[in-house]
Amino acid sequence: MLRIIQGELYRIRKNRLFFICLLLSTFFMFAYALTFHYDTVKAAGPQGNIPSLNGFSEFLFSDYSLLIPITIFQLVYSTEDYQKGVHEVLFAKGISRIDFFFGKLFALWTALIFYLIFSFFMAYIFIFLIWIKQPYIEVSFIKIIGYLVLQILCFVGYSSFLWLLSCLIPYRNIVLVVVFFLLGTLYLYLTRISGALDLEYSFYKYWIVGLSDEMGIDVYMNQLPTILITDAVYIFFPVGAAYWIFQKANLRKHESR
Amino acid sequence: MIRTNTVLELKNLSYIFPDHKGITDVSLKIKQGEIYMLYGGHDAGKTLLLQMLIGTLIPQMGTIKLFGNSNYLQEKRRIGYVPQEPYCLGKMSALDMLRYFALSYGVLEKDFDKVLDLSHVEKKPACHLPLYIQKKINLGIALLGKPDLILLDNPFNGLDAQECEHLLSIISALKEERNMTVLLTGQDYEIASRVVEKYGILAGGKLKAELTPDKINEECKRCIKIRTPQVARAITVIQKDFPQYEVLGDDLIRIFCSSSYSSKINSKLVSSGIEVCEIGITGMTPKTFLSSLAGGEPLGASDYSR
Repeated sequence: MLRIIQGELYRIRKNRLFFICLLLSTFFMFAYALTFHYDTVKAAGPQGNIPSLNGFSEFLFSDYSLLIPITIFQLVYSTEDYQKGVHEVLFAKGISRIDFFFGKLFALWTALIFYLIFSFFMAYIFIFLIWIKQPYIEVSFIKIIGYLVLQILCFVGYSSFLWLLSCLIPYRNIVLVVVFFLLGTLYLYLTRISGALDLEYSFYKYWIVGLSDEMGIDVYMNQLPTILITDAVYIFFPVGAAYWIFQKANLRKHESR
Repeated sequence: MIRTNTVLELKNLSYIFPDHKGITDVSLKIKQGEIYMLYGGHDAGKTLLLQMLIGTLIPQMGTIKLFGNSNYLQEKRRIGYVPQEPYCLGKMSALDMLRYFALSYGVLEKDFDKVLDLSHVEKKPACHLPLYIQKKINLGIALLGKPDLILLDNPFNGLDAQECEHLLSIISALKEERNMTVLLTGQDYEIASRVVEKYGILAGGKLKAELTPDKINEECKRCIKIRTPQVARAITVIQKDFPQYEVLGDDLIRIFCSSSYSSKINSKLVSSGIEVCEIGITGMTPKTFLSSLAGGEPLGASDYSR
């Protein structure tokens, strides 16, 4: 399995789409930093608000911007093998399905964690550059680090869900449409339907992406057991289901006519 | 690793899909260093058989012995597989693809085998290269870890004559220099016949026959037919170079040799002052013969069985 992880990490390193995603997320982080600065510090007038890094950390997860590039990358990357018939070539050399499945998944998680850390790093660089002349910044490093770790776990859960979908629907375009339809529906539910009907966000709260948004930096310690249980369910259930599907899947590429 | 002269042995191998297509009761043996061709049309079961060998499908019945080991999955590291349609990974260069597979297989090779002569294109994105180069890249990946058995699924499909020629020279080199066993599939008899040592004719999911090139030629009874009024003189002229002939009637001779010699025979006779009324090729071409077998036609009186 270690060999597969090595191979997949090499493949990700050579994948242009991954670098495009990093660039895109850098742009989003820049936009977040500017927006946060103008909405909170600048809009408050001459007295101004105290710039808060804690608030900025929460703001990074206020919409799907961080989610979209990695969603596209993961779906394209994980369905490519089905499309190209790479499974056959790897299995022909004696690599087992279990090694391939978990090797590829762990490599994807590694890429995801790298993507998130890189994005956070860029976001903080931008905000620090904007706030370079601010005399005081409200910051609590321990809280921020804990919060980011939990967010990374949520993203791993989300990534597992995407992995399940790409095993279930191994066709790039279809799975992309399905996932963006899900995200779009959820977004509409939150911003329009729920608002109009004055509903609680209970459905959203337990949807892994929603969980990321619902988590408050000052209160996440109180919610920790619920968050961890939800995360564990989101990680283990999709991975288990995906593994079962992958074991049963017909991975042969059909003969061309 | 068990040492044996038989590289691959299939016994009563069967795999039937729900639509009743598949292969039934296929048994064959491939010896070390042999170039074996599974000959057959579409839906004959060639690719399906290869997919069972590489483990993508598990046989419903029958046994597979690889290098004498009936637990054939243990010996898969000694196989190299090249699929019918070449695969590329995104915009990765040929060399990057090779290195990805080398890392995944856990082998140390970092460059293409020299026999493939890919040094001039290895840094270009594989997906932008011609089909033939993509096939060679896939072959290079199959050669990682120095396998003993190479499986080539329809290797000549989509290639022009020159590319086929080049691929044949690579296959010959692999056999001659490294004693590799090659199992290829397809229906390109004219190209493959230059290197293939044994044919397995698959039709309708069944192995109809196993034939050597000599056996095929014998079955085809290919000959050059010459009509001349000077039969006795003609025989004296041609019998030195073409000892296999027969005289049919007063003015007809049949010479058993390749059809490519017809012009040579004709010029030899004419230059010796012999009148040639008619010269032509008769008998069945090997390709027609194999196609008729692969088309599922009955074998007739001859017994082609293994």
